[in-house]
Amino acid sequence: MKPRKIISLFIPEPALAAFVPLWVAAAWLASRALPHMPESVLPIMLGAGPIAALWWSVHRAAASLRRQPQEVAPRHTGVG
Amino acid sequence: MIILAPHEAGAALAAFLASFVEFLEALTVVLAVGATRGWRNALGGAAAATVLLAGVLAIAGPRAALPAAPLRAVIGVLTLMFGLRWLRKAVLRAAGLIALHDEAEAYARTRARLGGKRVAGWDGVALAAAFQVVLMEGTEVVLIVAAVAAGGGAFLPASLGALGALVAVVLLGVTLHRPMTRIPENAMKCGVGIMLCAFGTFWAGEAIGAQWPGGAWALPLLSVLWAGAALAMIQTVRA
Repeated sequence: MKPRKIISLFIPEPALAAFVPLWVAAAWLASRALPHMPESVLPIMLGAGPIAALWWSVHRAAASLRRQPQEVAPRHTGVG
Repeated sequence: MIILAPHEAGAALAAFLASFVEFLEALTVVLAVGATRGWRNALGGAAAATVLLAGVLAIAGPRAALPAAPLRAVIGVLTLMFGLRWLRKAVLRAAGLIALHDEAEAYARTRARLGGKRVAGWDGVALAAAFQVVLMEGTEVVLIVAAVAAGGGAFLPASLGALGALVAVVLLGVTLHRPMTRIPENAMKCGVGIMLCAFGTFWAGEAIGAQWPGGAWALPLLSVLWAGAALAMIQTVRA
């Protein structure tokens, strides 16, 4: 297997891939810079950031796909 | 009776689901190789790749429990990225924006590519086709097992989950002898993406000092949170 293929397994989309490590690093820096930050802030930050990023990425991809619909139609829709 | 911690049970389930869909995709090609070029080549190629991957897992796996916080943060981030990739694709498929993976079509395509020329003895092309697909899908299985096991030292439950999936898919293949087209692959992929995202979020948080409410029991809660977000995304994108 080519190294590029292995790397691609971890990369969802360049912008999303860049966001995740930056967000975790930002959360870590915030926890160091603000030692009196409430305990609940860090878990909320870690949960909300990637979900918001995925939300943005999915909607951006959907808008792009609607502009250039694929030739292959799905057999059925819905989860599964 | 063995009682698993939440992260161990989650690792076993995530590894089982992910491995099941990956092995299913490999089975389709192996069946097509067997039907067109003979079972000896199909099974020989698949077995060689399986032995290679099992060797890699056996050597690298037990060392995957990395206690140092920076390494756990890296694993958390990689697991989260891995999960986001799965979940993003599954959401777009569930919303009908990209085509679902079609096992029947993959089977027909492989059969057409290989043709019906049977060679006496070992057939290099057929061997390589079966070897390559099992190695490719299996590498993803190894990465998933490593990802879900490494952060919490759950190598054994994750490996057993993957092994269970392998046995289930092989039994299905032996029994049915045709590609599995009725299995809800995308729902399973969505589940895997949700669990990988939950694991990645949890471990990245643990590594940077986040205090998760309920300790390891935050994992199921994170899974519910990611599942809810995924369903909301499917609904809003489909609209």
